[in-house]
Amino acid sequence: MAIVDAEGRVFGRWNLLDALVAVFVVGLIPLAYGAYALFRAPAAQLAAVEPAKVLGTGNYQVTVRGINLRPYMRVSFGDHQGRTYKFMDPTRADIDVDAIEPGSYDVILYDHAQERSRLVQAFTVEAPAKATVEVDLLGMVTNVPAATIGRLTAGSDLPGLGQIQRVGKASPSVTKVTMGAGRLFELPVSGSVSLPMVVRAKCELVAKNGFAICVALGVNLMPDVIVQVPSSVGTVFFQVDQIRTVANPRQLEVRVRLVGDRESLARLRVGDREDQSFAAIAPVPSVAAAAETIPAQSGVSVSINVNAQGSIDPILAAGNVATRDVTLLVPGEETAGRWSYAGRDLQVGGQLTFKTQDYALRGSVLSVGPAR
Amino acid sequence: MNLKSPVAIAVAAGLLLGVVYTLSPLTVLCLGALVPLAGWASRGLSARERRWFFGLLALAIALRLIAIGALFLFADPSQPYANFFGDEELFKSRTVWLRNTGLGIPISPADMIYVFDDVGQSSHLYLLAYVQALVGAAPYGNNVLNACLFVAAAVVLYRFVRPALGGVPALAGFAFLCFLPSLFSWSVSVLKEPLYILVAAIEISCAAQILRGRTGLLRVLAFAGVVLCGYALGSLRAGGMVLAAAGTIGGCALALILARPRRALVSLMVAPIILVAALMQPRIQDRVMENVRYAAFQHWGHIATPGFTYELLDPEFYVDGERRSVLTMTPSQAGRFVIRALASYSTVPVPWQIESRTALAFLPEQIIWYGVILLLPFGLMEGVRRDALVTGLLACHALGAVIMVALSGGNVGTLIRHRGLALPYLVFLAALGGCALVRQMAARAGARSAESSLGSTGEPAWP
Repeated sequence: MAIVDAEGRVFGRWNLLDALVAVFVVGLIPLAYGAYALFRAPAAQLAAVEPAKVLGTGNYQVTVRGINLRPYMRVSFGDHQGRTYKFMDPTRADIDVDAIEPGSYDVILYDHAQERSRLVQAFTVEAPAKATVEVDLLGMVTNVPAATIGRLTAGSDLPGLGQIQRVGKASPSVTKVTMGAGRLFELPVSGSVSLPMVVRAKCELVAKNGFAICVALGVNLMPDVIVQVPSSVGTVFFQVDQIRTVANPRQLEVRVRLVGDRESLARLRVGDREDQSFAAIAPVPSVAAAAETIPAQSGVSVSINVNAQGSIDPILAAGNVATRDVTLLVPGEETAGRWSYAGRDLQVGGQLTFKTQDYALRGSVLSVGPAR
Repeated sequence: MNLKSPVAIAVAAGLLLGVVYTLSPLTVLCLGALVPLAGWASRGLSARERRWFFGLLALAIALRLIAIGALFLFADPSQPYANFFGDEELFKSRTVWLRNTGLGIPISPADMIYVFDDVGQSSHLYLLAYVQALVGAAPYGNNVLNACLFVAAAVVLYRFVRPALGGVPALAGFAFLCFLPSLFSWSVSVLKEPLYILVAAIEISCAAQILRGRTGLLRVLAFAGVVLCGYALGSLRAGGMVLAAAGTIGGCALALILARPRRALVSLMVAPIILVAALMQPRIQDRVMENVRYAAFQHWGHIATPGFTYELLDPEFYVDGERRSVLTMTPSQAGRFVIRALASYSTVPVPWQIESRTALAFLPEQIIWYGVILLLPFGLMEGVRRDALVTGLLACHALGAVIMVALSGGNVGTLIRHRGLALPYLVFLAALGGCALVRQMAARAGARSAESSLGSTGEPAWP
């Protein structure tokens, strides 16, 4: 029997053309499977995130692990998009994450089109422990109607800021207003009064730009800032003058050699008090006595500063220079082993300016220590 | 079972169709939609003309599918999909994001920012998003869709031009449109050009029916079609509505003027007088200057783009790098700017100024472009003789696109791309001009063989 007969049938059974077509169609099956295996993009899936917990103090880098990761994918933590997606290999990618609020977040993997995988609540940002400290704020509540000022008394709460410790005597309202860099004006406000007070405030220690700052009601506490505070007389503005620790101040005896024009020095009197905004109620420095009135001397050398620009910045300009040693009683405090007063360091050799309503004199500290 | 039986063939075809539909539903739907369109376009064609038409159509589609298939096969596997042009990224990704947003499928927060970004907004995005909502994400199916839209546009224009200008010019224009390299490139991309050209083709077809419609209702519908298409063009590209309106009004007016020789003569004499009188009016002068300055402002912006650029303004406007200086342009400076703009539109990039190998590859098409420009006057003259309305509409639509692109352009690549807005109109006029030239040359030579090859409409007979 012929293999292919006269009608084109193989072994007399199959038509050769039909057989070829059948072989071709059957051959398409492995071809189709091969194409499927070659071109199919395997599904990407997340497996883990490392670290799963971070302390919410700033930016951090996390690693996601999974399978079939691709370079064009992205990862978000809840609604917070990862800033970068560094594809390391199909099982790992590194993500830079900007600071996000404390909480638990889903880790979501996206391709160019849509979400592809999700790890539910797999990433936790823990809130850093809050450091709260107490400080005494010396300052004044400004722009309060005279009729209601009496309701602000010692023991009253200033919600969100602290408690009033002491109040002074109300006076026509004056507000320190910043008019350009370094220019502070005390502007009177008619029809209202200011009330000096000491407020024991709680503030949160926050790291910012490499410094620790104290924040209350969203305001960085420092001299001259204004804090908007709700109170029993409505919202008031508390302007900070000094910040002190809550430790009871100690009376310090500071010996200062004041230098200046003879006429200025002649104004010094025992009992003079420094012109501090809180002088009426807080222990303030006073000239206890002129320990020794030095006779007028002429020819005392005048120190000068040469600043970075090379110009001379005289710290004193006087034609008839004299010195006078005085002893001041100062309500100071000891912080980090150093004495300070009204935010100023008191160190032997350091400078101190003594300002009253009548004059301002500069001098250097000769000695400092607890009052006898 | 007999594998050659109709049942077996139908089963095999069904299986094949099913497999292809599973792989790319959009490909099947788009190619399927071209079948009735091609059937409609081939009505009334002679057997030989029909063979040429279907041959060119099949080749146009096949080449485009091959190009898109190659894009798919040679794609970088580390990327989600490949593109012919960088701008396609916008259309491919953003339309999927848009679709997913509409369907409630979560997308990356970073992508959400760009979904509704003003930059690059066009109705084309919404069309692609809608299509993908129906058939699923189709990064390469979109290319097929656009290729089919472009081929459909060429078919519509062919059908629009053929009864008026003749079979050979129409077929030649059709071939130009399908195979001119730059238009071929845009047609396989996911950019908005193919859709724009299709809508523009429908718009110009409607515009002709405003005057040619057999009934009043048809004319009203044609007018509504022009308005709708104009709106669609405007949603695709800024100025699309103005171009449609100007092209339609100008084309119809030209047709009415040219319908009577005496009317044409009077118009030829009166038009310059009216133009000069109008330009002497301060209000019109101000308006014209304002528009020219705005165009110059846009041109200046193109000069600052990456790539090869060309200058149209007086040199002092480029010296200090201050773009707003063009707003102080005087009428004489504006005049020089307009003349240079139109000249550059026709000539840039001149062959001896080509600076890169990539640009050198464009040289053959630039030569073809020069040929189109040279053949245009002959095509216009012959077109007015054969069908003033269709010729007027083609010319006025092209003129609008030319002026818009010429005055605002400044980047060579962008100019070449945007020349594609006028080419669909110009290629048919140029093809007609070519046919007219051949006929005249044959007549002058007095060659009997050439004379005998002319058809009844005065065009070369089918080979």
